[in-house]
Amino acid sequence: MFDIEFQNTTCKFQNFIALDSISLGVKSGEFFSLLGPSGSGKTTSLRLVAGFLQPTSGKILIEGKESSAIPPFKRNVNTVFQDYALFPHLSVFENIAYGLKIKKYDAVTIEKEVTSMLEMVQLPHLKDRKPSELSGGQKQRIALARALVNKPRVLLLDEPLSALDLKLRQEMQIELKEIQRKIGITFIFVTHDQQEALSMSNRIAIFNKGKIVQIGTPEEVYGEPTSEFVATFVGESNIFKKDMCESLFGISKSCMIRPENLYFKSDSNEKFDFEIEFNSKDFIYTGITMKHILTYNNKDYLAYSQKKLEKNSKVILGMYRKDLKPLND
Amino acid sequence: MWKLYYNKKLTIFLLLLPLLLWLGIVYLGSLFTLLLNSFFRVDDFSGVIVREVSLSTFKDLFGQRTNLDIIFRTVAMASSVTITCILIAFPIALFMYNNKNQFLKPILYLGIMLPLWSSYLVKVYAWKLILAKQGIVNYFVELTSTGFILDSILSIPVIGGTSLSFSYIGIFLVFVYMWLPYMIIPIYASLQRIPINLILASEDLGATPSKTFSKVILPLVIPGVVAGSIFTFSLTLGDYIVPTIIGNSSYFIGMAVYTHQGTSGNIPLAAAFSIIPIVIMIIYLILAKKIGAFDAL
Repeated sequence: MFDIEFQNTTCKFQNFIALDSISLGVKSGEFFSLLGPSGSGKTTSLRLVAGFLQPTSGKILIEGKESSAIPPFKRNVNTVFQDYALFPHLSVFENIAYGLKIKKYDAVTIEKEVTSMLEMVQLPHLKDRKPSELSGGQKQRIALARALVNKPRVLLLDEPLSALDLKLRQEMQIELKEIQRKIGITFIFVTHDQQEALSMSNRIAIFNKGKIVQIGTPEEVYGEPTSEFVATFVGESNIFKKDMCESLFGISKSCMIRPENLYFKSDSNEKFDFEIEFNSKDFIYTGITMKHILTYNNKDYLAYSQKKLEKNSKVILGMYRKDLKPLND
Repeated sequence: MWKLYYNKKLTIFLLLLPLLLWLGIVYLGSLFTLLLNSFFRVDDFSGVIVREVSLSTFKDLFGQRTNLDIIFRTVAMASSVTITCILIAFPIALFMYNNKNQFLKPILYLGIMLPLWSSYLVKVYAWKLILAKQGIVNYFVELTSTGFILDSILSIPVIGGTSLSFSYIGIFLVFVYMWLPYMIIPIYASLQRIPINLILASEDLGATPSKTFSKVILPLVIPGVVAGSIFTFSLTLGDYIVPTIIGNSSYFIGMAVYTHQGTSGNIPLAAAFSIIPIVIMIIYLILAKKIGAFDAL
């Protein structure tokens, strides 16, 4: 059984279709990411689960129960908001205790639970501070503690790391993943950052224009994208249009190949399935590797190597048939 | 010239100078003069102001029963007007905040702002006509033969009187009408400043809408209520026109100040009277800060 299930769920705002009949099941204990560009419907999906929005048609099941009639305050899910939404008039302790106080727990239990949450997010010394006295990363952790203290069945995270700077974001990615493993509840994580989704999730649903275009493990969506949208949105890719594929590879569909699967002929003695001559246009030094921009038939392609190339020189690249992924469009 | 422009501190100082002079000399200066005048006294025999610092004017102010009555009357009126304004303004502000109807929105705004655009005196005289013995209220009371209700209200001791326009009830009604917008607008503004996610977060954590109201919305609106009550309270404390035109000619602080500095020429006593609202407001703000009314700012 799924913890959360969407069944042909549609959500419209006046004339705008935010979600177009999506179906999706999130398993218990999963770290599930909703990935897509802004306006693709991922936050709408999260709000439907939280109960802040009602589906126009279709169903949302929480623990197998149809729940569109259940108000947000009765749902066994909690949300971590993008802007944290900490109550400015309450201290850190009172913020975390909010949900427990509402549920009328006794003071001793509240003290114990809140303290253990503060320890989990490693901020017990901040319990008397006001949210305005916290840094972005601290607010983030308190928001997480405030949601988790209620022991929800599912935790909903709405781009929780997007307001943090890169270094802190990477630290929080690891920490979030660890917390999820430790407490073992289901996380539904909304993000527009494909790297974040790939590195944290058990499974990813990729959204585009209100529809789910692909669901799979990080390896599946990166390695086996089924559409040009997924191929270009997740990671870097080289797309060969249908007519080109026919003449070059004898495949009657457009194809995708990752830049790391394009090999410089001059660097190896391997026997490649295909060899194509490109023109080198430019390169970018990224630290770990050199990113080459190559042209073929006036289109740009990407390949990586450790060496610089002379601009406007001819290079031969080899590729294997198994790395060519046909796309449905 | 360009060098001056790059000297940031000097530029800011020069830009602020006229304002600082205005604030320092005209504004604070006159307040100080007021304070100073209250420590002078009028010679009983000659009626001449004696420019020596003493507390004798304050002794007069607090020593006489009539003066204490004036102060008490004014503070009681200002408090009840403020409380009533809060009670009326809060639901209106909430309704405006929740209103999603784009057509109704400007009408609500206009309904609140429009009375502020018309002359103060016109409004007071209009109310006099509404409340007077031959006025609109009495006309409808007679039409519906509900005179006994009005009579029983007017027969309440102290706040009643011969007619609505000759009673504290009348003054109270007009004050509430006059200052209501000054309460609605700050409350509405502070409601609007509450991020919608805070309300969603509260519901998400299990709070019913009424719990969310009392635990999140209300505490965050308190600064707006305090701001509004500063207006209604201090405006009532200082007003002398409404109690002059409406009411049974019992004195309020504003009227006392007006009479003492005019007809009776007792400027020190007038000054001492006008210190009272200032002191009350300072105490009020300190108390509001103590109970944490500005914490959410």
